[in-house]
Order: sequence, then structure tokens, then C-alpha cells
Amino acid sequence: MLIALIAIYAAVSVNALFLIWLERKISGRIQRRQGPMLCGPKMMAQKSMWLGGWFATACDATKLIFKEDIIPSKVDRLGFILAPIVVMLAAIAVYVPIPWSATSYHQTEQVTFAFADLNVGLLYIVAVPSLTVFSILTAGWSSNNKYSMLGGFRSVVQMLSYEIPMVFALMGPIILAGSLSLGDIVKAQTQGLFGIPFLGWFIIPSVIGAAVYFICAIAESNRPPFDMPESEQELGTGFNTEYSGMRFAMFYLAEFSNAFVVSSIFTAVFLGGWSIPGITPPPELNLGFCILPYFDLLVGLVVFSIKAYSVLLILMWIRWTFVRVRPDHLMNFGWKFLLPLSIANVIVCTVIAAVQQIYYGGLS
Amino acid sequence: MSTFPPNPDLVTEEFELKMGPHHPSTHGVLQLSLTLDGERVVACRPNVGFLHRSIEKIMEHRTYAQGVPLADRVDYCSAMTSSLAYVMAVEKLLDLTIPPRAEYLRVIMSELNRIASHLLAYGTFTLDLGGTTPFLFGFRDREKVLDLFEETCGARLLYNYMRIGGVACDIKPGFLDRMIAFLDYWEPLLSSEYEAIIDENPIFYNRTKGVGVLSQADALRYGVCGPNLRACGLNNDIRKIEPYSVYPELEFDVPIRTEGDTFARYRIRMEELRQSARILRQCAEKLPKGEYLARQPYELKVPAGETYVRIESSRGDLGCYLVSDGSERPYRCKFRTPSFSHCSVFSHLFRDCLFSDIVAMSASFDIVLPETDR
Repeated sequence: MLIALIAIYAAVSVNALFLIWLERKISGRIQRRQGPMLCGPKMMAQKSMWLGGWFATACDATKLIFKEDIIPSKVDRLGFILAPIVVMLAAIAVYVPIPWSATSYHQTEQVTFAFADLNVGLLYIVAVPSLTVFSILTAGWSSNNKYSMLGGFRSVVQMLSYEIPMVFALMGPIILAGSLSLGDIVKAQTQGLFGIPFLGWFIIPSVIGAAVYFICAIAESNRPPFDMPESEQELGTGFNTEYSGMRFAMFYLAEFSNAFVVSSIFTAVFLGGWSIPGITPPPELNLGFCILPYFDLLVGLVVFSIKAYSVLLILMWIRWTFVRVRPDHLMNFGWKFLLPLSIANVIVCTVIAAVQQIYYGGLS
Repeated sequence: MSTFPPNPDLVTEEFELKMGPHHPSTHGVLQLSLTLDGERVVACRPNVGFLHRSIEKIMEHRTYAQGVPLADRVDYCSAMTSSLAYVMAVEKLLDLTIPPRAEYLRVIMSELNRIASHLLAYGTFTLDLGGTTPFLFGFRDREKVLDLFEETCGARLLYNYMRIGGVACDIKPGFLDRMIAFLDYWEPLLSSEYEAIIDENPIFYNRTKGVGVLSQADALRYGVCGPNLRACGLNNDIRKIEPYSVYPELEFDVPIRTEGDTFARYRIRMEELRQSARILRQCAEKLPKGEYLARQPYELKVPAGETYVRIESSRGDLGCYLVSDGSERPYRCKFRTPSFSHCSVFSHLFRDCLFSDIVAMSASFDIVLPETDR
């Protein structure tokens, strides 16, 4: 069990490091930055532009690990120390129900490949990241710094504004799939809509929901243009101003890990997860590509990764294109625009689900 | 204007926040003493003086020629124009006519410097709003302007290029071609990159349109000048109303907007970039041959008297008040700098707004603190 936990922790951290490198590459492409293009051993950088720049991330990580751990004397020590731990904990815990793939090999029915396919998976992935807000507020308050405190407050304001539309946006897929389990939601998407397999992805019946969720997801992972809690130019990186070394790195890793999580959730809920429409057979056929042992599992993993990273690339593209939103604009946008829109989405999805139920038989 | 009306049932407490002088968005070392009610700014008091180097006092102990590099440091983001004001003041006291080629070189360098300075303003303005990509667009092309300065006078920031009687050195062969090549490369980018990435963006639009509206009367009351006053609908371009150097021979428009908000101030600068490019193209065609410097003795004795010269620097109406007592050192040299007036308007403008607006508004004024403090 302990080994599994360490493995998950290592996988999350390494993935986050990879994402930091990827983010640098994207920004380098967009902004003509030299470092991300070329930094690294000379041979490697010259051979392939894509490999260049990994050195900077490695140096960054090494520096952060070996840096002196500074706890300012006037901080509230308990909160100050706990906040980054809780943030990292939430970031790792949210990986639990994400359905990476599925297999039918040696099984009587298709089994979802996840750390645990919870039957309330969707509720879990909405609830657990909210912990992040507590720790950001704690970090902001305990830092005993006015900028940090404002950052913490902004984080709460932001969460209140986007969390409700986000949950409503996720209601559509729940209604369409008839289940809260992420594995079941993906399986429901392999069956197609109105008998057409290509319409199976929930992004088609619930396109409004997908758009609302995508916007809220950016806010949830605290990424620009919704990075108000840490807005560098206004609050001097806000809630993590007083943090340095590994404690800062935890916030940083958690941010990137959250970005990956939200794109994974988007993939699972709206983009059909591991399935390819028209090619991946519905689960009840139980064929599962049994050419090789666990072949369907591998194909699923690859398909899922491609989708998730594509969503992530869009997130990064947005980050380097937009300017930051003002807090009151975000609230206006969240309450007056996203919330009604997401409720409308619930109604649309209900109608579609009812039509599907009546004319084409039940979903899963 | 406030979107958060105070709630009488809720007991809240205002708190003081000293924003700066080491804050990333105060453009150097401005300090804003803010009274905040949560995110809402109740009052603001700008404190200046953190970058005071007593340039004006030091000048009194140096010869007139030695004052030029000091004048550069008055506004280090636009050093060409600030030293130009100084040498023009000395020349006016000397009643000196300078060679036409020198006049054109001065205008070329001033306008290139205006481009460099406005690109910096564009970059820092968008960075303060949270956009890193436009920021790097601005800096990428500013480097190319600085390359042109470097090949001419060897420096990239503090040029020491203006001289009493002309300029320090002639341009290198092929400079004009390289300058035109730069303009040909950069001018299309203004609309295809600079404006494309933010102008139509609703987030940017919402954060700047109608934010920090300064009425023309208030602007005049606080001595606001330059692009910031032109954003309030008044043409105060010294190049037009009190033409100096060879500006009367050159064709250019003065962009005017009437809104007086953050967006207008940003737009004025973008239009001025185009006008500067237009001036530079004309200068490249008209540049006469001949001397670049009317040589003066190093220990120059200036006849007693006083004078005031104002020019249009990148930031606005830059004035130099020079008093001579007939010796080789100035009796008094006083700079009237636009950023100082722009800082003073903050206490009027930064009221009943949001904390996020502060960085957007202060950046839109394009303040440069060395110029404020001198």
C-alpha cells in the first residue's frame, strides 16, 4: 500500500515536472523565448528543438529541493506549514477516480482501470479540489502579509463564483449517463446518441456544459486568465509570497497537477475518455480488442493521454494569450452568465436524455 | 463606479497597504499608500523620492558639457529626449545655430527613442494586466531599436549622444537602410501582433474601457501632459504647438482621443508609434549632408541669463529651465518632468476603484520614476 502511495506521489510529481517543461515549451513557441528552446546539453538541444529546455526544469527542481527552508518569524506556524501539505494532498487525492482506461481481458464485463472507480466519482472530483481553497486561504492568512491575505480572500471569492456553475455543467453528463461513476460515464459515451456512434461524446449533447466546465476548470486550477489569487503583478504572487523552497514547490506542483486533473476530467466526462467513437466497441459486446493480453487497456491509455494532453495544450495556449480577469468581472461572469447557462444546459441534457430513452432505448 | 457598495450590516475595517517601492507593478520605486476596504481602494497617496539622485544639484558643479550624461539619466527610458531638452536650453542661451544634419539626426534619434519608450510602455502595461506574451513582443522589438542606438553611439540605454552644438558622432554607413528595414519589419507587426493579441480581447476591453476616466479639466488641473492629455481630447503636442528643431518640415498627425480612460491612453501610444515611423521615413529621405556638430570649447562660458525650453519627450511635455551666471557651470538647472505630474494625479484618480485597476491605471500613464525623482 505504501509503495503504491509513493508510486502515485512520484508519478504525480514527475508528470507535473513534465508539464512545467511543456508549459515552458509552449510559451517559448508563442513568445520566441530562447531558454525553453535551447537550454540543455548542447548536442541534445541542437539535435532536436523539442528536447531543448528540459535542463531548466531539472535545474529548477534541484534548486527548489536544496533551497533553505525559510519560515518567517511572524507567521502562524501551524497554518503556514500545513497549507502546502494539504494542497499537495488534495492534488494527489483527486487522481483516485479518474478512469485512465478499461479492459475486458479475462473479465466477464468491462472493468475500468482507475485507482478506484468510485460510484460517486464525479461528486468526489468536485469535492476534493475544494480543499485547495481552504489551504490557499490558510496560506494567505497565516503568512501575515497583506498581499497574501488579499490573495487568500480572492481565492475564496473565485471558488464561490465558479464552483456552482461547474457542478451544474457536470449535471448534464450525469443525466445523460445516469450515473455518478466516471467509468460508467465513459462507457455511456461509447454507445452513441440517437443510434449514431459518432455523436456519443457528451461534448455534443452537452456542448454548453462542456464550455462552462472548461472555463470553470481554468479557474479551478488557478491558471491565467483566472489566476487572481496569485496575480503576480498585483499581489506579488499573492498567497505564496512568503513561501520559498520546497513549500513553494508544492504549491507549484499542485497547480500543474490540478491543470492535468481538470483536463483529464474534461476528457473523461466530455470527450469519451479512453474510447474512439465508432471503433471502440460498446462494453456489452465484450470484445475489447483481445488481440494481445490487455491490448485494449494499452490502446485506451494512449487514447486517453492524447485527449487529455490536447486539452491541456489548449489550457496552456489560453494562458499565454489572455490578460488577467478582474475579480468583480469574474463574479459577474460566474453568477450572471455561467450559472444561467449551465442551468439551461441541464434542461437541454434532460430533454436529450428523455428522447434517447423513449426512442432509442435506455442508456447504460 | 464602485461595483461593491458597502454593506451597512457588515462591520468591516479599512486597512493601510504600502504598495511599493519594491512592488513589481509600481514601475520602479513608486510607493502608493493605499487605504483598502477589502478589494476596494478608498484613498491613495503616492510617495515619490525613492530614486532621488540630485541630478539637478550635481549639474551645478559640472561644466555645461558634463551635464549631458547627467541629463540622460533624468529619464533613462527615453534618454535621447531628456538630454535633447538640456542641450537645446544651453544652445538657446548661447544663441547657437546648429548644422541641419545634426537637427535631423536629433529628430531621428528622438523618434527612435520614442518608439523604444512606447514599446516599453506597451510591454509593461500589458504585463501589469497579466499578459506576458504582448510584453515580450514589445521587448523583442525594442531590442532591435536599441541595436540601432548601439551601433551609433555604443550604448543601449544611456546614450550620451546629444552634444551642445549637435550630436556626438555621425551615423554609421548603412544606418538608414537598417532603420528602414526595421520599420518595414516592425510596422506591419503593430496590427498583426501587438494590437491583434489584446485589442479585441473582451477581458482586456473590460479592464481598460471606462476605467480611470480623467476629465480634461482635471487633467489640466494636475498638469497632465503628453499622450495622457491627448487621450483627454486636447492637442498639446509641443512638436506642433511650439515646433522646435526640424519638426515643422515633417509631416505627421497628432492622434487625439476624447474618452480619457485607460484604453484611450493605450491607443494614443499605439497611434504615436505609427506617426513616429512616418517621421523616421521622411527623415531618412530628407537627411542633408554636412557637419553633424558645431564644435564648442569644452570649458564653455555661457552668457548670463535664463531660459526655458520645452520639448515633447516620449512621456510628454519635458521642460528644462536653465539659469546661467556667465561662468562655465550652470547656476541652476531645473527639469519639469511629465511623470511627476502624472504621479500627482494618482491621488485624485485612484479612489473608489478596485485594487486590480490600480496597476492597470498607473501603467497606462507610463510613469518612469527616475524622471519623477531626478
